[in-house]
Amino acid sequence: MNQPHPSSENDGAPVPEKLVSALRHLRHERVLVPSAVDAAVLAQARRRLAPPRPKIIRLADWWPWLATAAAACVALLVAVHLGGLWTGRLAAAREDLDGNGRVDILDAFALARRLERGMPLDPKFDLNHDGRVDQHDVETIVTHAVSLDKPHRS
Amino acid sequence: MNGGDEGAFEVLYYRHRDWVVNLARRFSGDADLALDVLQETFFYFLKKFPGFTLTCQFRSFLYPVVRNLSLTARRKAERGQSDGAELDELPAFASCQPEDRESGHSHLAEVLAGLSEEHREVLLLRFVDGLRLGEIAEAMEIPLGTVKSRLHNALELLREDPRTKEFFAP
Repeated sequence: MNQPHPSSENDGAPVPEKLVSALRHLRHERVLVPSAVDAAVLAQARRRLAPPRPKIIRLADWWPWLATAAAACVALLVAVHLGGLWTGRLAAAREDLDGNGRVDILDAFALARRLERGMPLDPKFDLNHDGRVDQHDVETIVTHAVSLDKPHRS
Repeated sequence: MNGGDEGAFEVLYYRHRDWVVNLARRFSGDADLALDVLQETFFYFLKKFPGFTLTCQFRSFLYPVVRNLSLTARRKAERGQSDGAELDELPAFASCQPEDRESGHSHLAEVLAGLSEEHREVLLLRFVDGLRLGEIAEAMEIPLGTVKSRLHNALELLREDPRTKEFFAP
C-alpha cells in the first residue's frame, strides 16, 4: 500500500512514499569532488581563519614620529639657548652706556668721565646694585666688556 | 569559526559539500562548473569571518549563494560556447538507466523537466534535499505560504499527469 510520506507539522498535504522514493532515486549524475578541490578550500579556510600575527614594529613605521620628536627637542634647545643669549643681551644693554650696541671699554670711559666731571649720574648706572654710582660700576662695565669680547679659556 | 577554529569549518564543509556541488550541478548543468561554484561558495562564506553570525539553517543560507553563482557561471559558459550550443536544460534528470525506464522513473524525470523552475525547485528541495518548508522559504527568500502553494501545485501536476499518476495510486 502506498503510504503517505510522513510529513512534519508544517508540511501540509501528505505525499505518497512511492513518489518520494522515486524522486530520491532518480538516477542523476552525482558530482565527485576531487581531493584537490577539498585541499584548496581548506587551505583558504586556514588562511582566512588563522589568528592574526603579532605586528612587528619596524623602525620605518616610527621614523616620521622619531624625526618630529627630535626636531622638537632641537627647537626647544635652540629656544632655551637663544633665550639665554637674549637675557644676556638685555643685561648687557644696561652697560652699553654710549648706545652703540656693544659693551666695551668706551662705555667704561664714558662712566668714568661722568664721575670725574661730577656730572649728574642716572641711577641706572648703579650697575653693581650697591646703591651708589661710583668707580665700582666702572669696573663692572670693564668686567662685562672683557667677558663678552674674549672667548673662555680653559 | 569566529574564534579561528579551522576544524569547525572543516566539519561544516564536508557535511554540506556534496549537497552544494550537486545543487550547483542542477543549476549550472555542468560538473566542472559545479566544482567551481563549490569553491566560490565556500570562499564567499569564509569572507564573512570574523564577525559573522548565522541566523538561519546553513543550507538556507547557502542555497541562494549556490543558485546565483551557478546561474552566473552557466551564463558565462553559454556566452563562451563557440558553437552556440547550450548546456543541458536539466542534465540531472535527462539521463536514465534502463532499470529506471522500467520502473517509470524516466517518466518522472520527463514530467519534472516540464515543470516550471520554481515548482521543480520546491519539490526537489523538499524531497531530495530534505529541507523543511520554513528552510525552503528562507533559502528561496519567499513567503512560507508561497512555498506551500508551489509545492501543492507541483504535486497536483504530477498527480494529474498520466505518466506519473501511478505514484499516487493507493
